[in-house]
Amino acid sequence: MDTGFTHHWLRPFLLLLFWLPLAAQARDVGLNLSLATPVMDADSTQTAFIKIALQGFEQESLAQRSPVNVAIVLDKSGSMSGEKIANAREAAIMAIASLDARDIVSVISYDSRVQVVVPATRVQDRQSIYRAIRRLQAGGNTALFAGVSKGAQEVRKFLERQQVSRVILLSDGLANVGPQSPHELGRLGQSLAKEGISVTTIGLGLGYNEDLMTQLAGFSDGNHAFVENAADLERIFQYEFGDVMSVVAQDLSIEIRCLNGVRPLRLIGREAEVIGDRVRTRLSSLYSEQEKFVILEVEVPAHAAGSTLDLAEVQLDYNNLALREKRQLSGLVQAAFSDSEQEVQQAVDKPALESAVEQVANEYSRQALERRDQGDIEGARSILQKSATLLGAQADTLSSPKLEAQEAEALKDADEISSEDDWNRKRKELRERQYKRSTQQTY
Amino acid sequence: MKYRAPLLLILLVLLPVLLLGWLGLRLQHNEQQLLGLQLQTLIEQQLQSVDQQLQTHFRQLEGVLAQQAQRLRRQTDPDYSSEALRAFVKNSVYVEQLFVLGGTDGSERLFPPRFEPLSQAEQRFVEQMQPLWRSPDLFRPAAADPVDPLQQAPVRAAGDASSYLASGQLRAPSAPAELALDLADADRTMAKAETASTAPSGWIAWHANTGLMQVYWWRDDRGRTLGFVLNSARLLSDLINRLPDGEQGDQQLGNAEIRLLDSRGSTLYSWGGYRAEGNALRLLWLNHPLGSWRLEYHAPAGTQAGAQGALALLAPLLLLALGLGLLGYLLYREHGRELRLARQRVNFVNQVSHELKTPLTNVRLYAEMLQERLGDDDQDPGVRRYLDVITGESQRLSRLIDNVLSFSRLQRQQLQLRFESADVDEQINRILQTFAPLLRQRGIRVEFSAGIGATLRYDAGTLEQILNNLLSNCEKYAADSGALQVQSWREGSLICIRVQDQGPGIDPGEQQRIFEPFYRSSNKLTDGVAGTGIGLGLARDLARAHGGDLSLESCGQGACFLIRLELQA
Repeated sequence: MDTGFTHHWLRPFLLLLFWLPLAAQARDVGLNLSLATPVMDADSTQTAFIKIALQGFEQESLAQRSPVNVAIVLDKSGSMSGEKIANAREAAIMAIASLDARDIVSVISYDSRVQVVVPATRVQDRQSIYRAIRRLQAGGNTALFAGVSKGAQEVRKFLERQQVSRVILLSDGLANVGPQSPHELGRLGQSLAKEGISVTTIGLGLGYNEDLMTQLAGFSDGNHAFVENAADLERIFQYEFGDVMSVVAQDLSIEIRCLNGVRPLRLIGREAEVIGDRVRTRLSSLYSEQEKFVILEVEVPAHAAGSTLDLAEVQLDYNNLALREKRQLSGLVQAAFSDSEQEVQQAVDKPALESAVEQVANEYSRQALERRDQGDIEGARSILQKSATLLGAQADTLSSPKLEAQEAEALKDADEISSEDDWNRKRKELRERQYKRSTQQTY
Repeated sequence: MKYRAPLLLILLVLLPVLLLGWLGLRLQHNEQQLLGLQLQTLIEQQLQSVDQQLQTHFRQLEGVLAQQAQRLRRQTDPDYSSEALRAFVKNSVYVEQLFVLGGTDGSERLFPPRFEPLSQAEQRFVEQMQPLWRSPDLFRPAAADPVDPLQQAPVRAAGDASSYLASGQLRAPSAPAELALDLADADRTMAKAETASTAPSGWIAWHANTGLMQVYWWRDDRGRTLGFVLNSARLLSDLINRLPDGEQGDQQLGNAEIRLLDSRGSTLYSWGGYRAEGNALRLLWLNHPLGSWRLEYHAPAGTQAGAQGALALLAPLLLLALGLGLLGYLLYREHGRELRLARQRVNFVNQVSHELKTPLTNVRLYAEMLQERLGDDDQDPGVRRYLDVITGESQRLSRLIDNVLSFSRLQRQQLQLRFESADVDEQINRILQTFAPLLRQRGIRVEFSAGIGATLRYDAGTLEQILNNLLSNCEKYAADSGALQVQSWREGSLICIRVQDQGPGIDPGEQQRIFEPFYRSSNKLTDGVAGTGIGLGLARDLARAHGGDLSLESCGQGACFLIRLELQA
């Protein structure tokens, strides 16, 4: 009786105790480590792909999302005149319409001068914001660097780690006032990323510099989109704001330490710092229910059959926006060794290998583009064909429709890469696709 | 001669207009120069204050970096750990790379570590910076002195910067807070307390192949040097954020533009309302560590103001010229009318004289005929006397008319000399005879000493007219003066005749003017004596037309005239 009473009294309490970590789990980023080939051939040095996947948890409701602090930087140079600026204005207004009073927005426009159209302000008096945006007229040059600078400055006014800070840049032309090399813009992006500001770049039409735009976005892990038709701007802005409002984790910094003589070769598709056996990289944001991953290629020394080996230790530090606190996760990647070919084949981690192949092929695509830029069209085509062969073979063994589609894409690219007309559009498409694939962009 | 009046009038109009125009131009020019000078100083000030703004950024950045350096120093035990330094670089917004130099001579690389693996970025960095590390002289604050002015600047800047940019809403006072962003909060207070420490530090502007790099170095208490290599893109971005944006620029500069240019001369940022290409009005090289960058001031090249000024000057000048021109034209018309009237009058007198001549000749002719008819039977002495009066007066009248006609001929330059052979002495004698009764009446005795005694070719009419005038003057003004001496001689090709009376003579002050036409010396002598005033002038003009002259000679008593006439060869 005594115990029964105690039981009775304890039950909900115990249930709560059980549920709490579960709830916490549900609101924590998943760190999934996998090795494409968990069982490896014994007694030979070989390379292996480690997939480090981050799984964003589900945002419970839109009402509980983190406040956002967005600067919309609009190109209003002469080339934007007419339809383009009109569409851009409407897209910006529509996007702002989806924000509410928690959020901060600023609008900057630039031609040869930079204009702070709407200084950073809470989204309360919408009409005056809309009015200011509607007054924008096109004309002048393109001071892109200064535009991004002032945009970041507006975001910085209310910078806070617990909200989503982003500069959204729309440009349709080449930067021709101020710094204009992809390298310089990239370094600005790098600095902004350190502050927790990410930059999304939207290239409109066929006049912009896709290398510059992807570099600027790439360093801060923002999104990039190629919008050929100004009418699509509203859609893209909606996607972008959807992303911004569904961020669940920020400042994700991944540190991988290779163990036991395993040598890191490269981190495919992302910027990383490799020092000795350590690899560091960072991702700026993770969206609700999104999986982002990085693929690390390593060289594994020879080991005897039947042994197991710790390949790498992975540590993830990030800022959990739902819990409003910094969290740390870690994990270990292990491999086994076997003499049996069959065992090795059977153990293959299909999703991990699929991702690895996807990234490797993407890297091939980048190389092909570089070759094409150097004027070596044949070389570019052969790289793409090699990529298609790899994709085809892996698609068969993994029976992956995703890789099949990518193979078709690669073959089409190989066909089209030699054509001179329309290369401008093609190049922008390629860059966009490469960028999206390597950053697992949601749209 | 004919165009003298219009020429004079044109001069009258042009001179003041030109003078005023010139003066106005000078004035305007001076004013423009002054304005230009003022503008130049204003521009200079504006550019200076922009430079100050940029310098302020470096000063604040310096403060932040020095604090961070101190923080890193506190973490040493006793060496800087690569881990801590890398973590710093990874999180620092402004700093792209970091190096530590130490060792005995201060140029040994401690970080990035020499005997440990480096990342690719670090390897590139090491390659790039090797030359800098090999010259430790650069890390010395006082010698080259690029840093000192920076450190002393705050006092100066506080005054200067307020002149221009600080008036724009640049939030200068709150800037340090913005910059201190990557300082951990816990450390802030402690770090602030230490800012006063005077570790040697300074800036180096380093030109690597990728462009200008700014390096802030800081020496710790053990002689190790920390070098913070700034992210130059971020630096530029921050500098741009300190400068006015489009709207502020328009307000501050109006129709002008300031451009920030890098060492390659390409525009990094520009603001202000003016947007045309062209040469800069003024140029300012920035202070260290942006030494190879410059500011350019662009504005329309003052043409607008000049045109306006010229218009402002031209309008009154034009009005003045118009007014003066009109006045001149009116005067000219008036003058012309009077000239015409005078000519009409002369014509009239001329006509009248001609008309008078014929009846007068008849009167003289018949009077003389009557005198002859009366002959010697002079029953009544009264009749002869009357006849003498008639003859005398008609002769005088005809002389008068001759004078008038000759005068008008001279005026119209229609005088023609009629040379003929004659005996001069005899002619003089005859003339004197004609005047003899008249002179005798006035109590004048004629003494003629002839000295030519030859027949010569000359115009007898001219000589007669000259003598007539002199003798009639003599008769009018030198009554009761006793002897009138007439002398004649020849000098080469000249006939010379001197006529000297013993009358009251001519005032020295009037000696020049007596020959002017229509001038009559006005004194008690001439009062009440009739005359036309053309006699002497005419006589001289006639003598001159004859290649000679009529001049007044000085002599003791009375007037003494000398006639000289050129003979025809």
